[in-house]
Amino acid sequence: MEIQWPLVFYTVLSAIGCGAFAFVAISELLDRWDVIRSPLATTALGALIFGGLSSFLHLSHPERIFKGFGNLASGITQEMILTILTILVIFLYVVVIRKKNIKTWRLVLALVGLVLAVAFLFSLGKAYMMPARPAWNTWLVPLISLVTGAVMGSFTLYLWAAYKTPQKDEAGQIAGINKIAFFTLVAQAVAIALYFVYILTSPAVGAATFFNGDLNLILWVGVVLVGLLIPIGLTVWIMVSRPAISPLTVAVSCLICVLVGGIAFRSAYFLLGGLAPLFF
Amino acid sequence: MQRAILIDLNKCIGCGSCIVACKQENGLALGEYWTHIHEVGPLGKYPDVESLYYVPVMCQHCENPPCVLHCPTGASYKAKDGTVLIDHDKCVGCQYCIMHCPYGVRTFDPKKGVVDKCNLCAERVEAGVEPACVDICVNKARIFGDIDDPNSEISQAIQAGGGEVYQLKPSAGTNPSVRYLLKDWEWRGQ
Repeated sequence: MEIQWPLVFYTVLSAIGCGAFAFVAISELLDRWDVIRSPLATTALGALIFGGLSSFLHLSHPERIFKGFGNLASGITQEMILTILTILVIFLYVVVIRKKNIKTWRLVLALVGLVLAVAFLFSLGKAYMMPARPAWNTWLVPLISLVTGAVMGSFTLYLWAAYKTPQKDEAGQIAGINKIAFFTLVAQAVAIALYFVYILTSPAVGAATFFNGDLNLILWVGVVLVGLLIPIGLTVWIMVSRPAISPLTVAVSCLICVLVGGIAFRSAYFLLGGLAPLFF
Repeated sequence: MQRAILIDLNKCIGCGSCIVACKQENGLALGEYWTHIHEVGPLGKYPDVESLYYVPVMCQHCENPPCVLHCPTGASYKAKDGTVLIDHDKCVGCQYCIMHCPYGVRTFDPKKGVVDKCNLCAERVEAGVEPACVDICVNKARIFGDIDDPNSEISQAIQAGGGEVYQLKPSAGTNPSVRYLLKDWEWRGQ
């Protein structure tokens, strides 16, 4: 199947939005990172709005949405409902944190937003599980969607923490976030490795599709090298050597890498999504 | 009522006239097809190679169509006569139905921005004429009719065919209404 670019950007931006807000909710629960809550939530809101707009670019007749979209069994309807609800709750959270800043409201909205963000990320993967396309028909797809959200969110958190934290990270806040980002990357690497095994062992997809020329570049360079190995290497380097490098540089570099990796994975996902053979 | 087509694969010579008739009848653009002909075979191993047979594949007008189940707006629907149709005024062009169809028979019309496919020549049938592909078939390999009517020609032919009448990809759970009759050959549909 051809790469559906609007959907690639929809899923990647939604992963940033949901992941970033999940860390806002965690910060509320742990009562930490209070300085970065507001910019992180605003980033999440912006990413989700732009993601939602990107998904509209995929439609030839978005104006007809108002005629229908009532089929709740459709994965697209579920995605759309969750997109709107998540945006709405995060918008309310941003309003509360900027205007009233009442802790109970913040906490309630953060928790509701966390549940919605997780459900939304799950639906982004689940919507594309279909028997007609064997490469997509695995529970690893929603799992990857969830861990990608965690990766994107952790590096957005990293970025804001690095930007807002004074030069000297006395509280060890950046070091802690670096560790969290590393573990989310490891989880993503495991999930993607399992997906590669699934593709290679699936009789309906197989190694021939996997090692196709176009896919080689996207998978090995885009997903594995840029999306996983470079950011893993950077976070490990920070943990082990504590080099005198600006945390902001690390955060920006890693965020760019995981964005490239996310775009590459979704592109490969569409290219892998051929029909199951009709005849043997 | 379930309108359907039975294709006798022993009669199909893969000439492609059904494809041409379908394109003419529906005014399909260059490169757009609602019917595809798959070559199955050659079967066996050299020197005992058997010939091949042809399987025309179009919308299977399934009893449980995934395209209808997953269409977000209800643009894809099952009509009273059992055919699966598309209400273009409701189609948003998301192409989710194309992704879900196990038979790969839906196409996207970039000019109209909607999804299209075989509608069993609804207008012709309404006027009492057979679908264009049935009408044109040079070897009379196709029978059109109501498979829910036990007295119809198609039902009688299916009954006579017994265990040699097949559905395409029954494992998909769609229960396609299009049937294939294949005698003396191995059915290689998944």
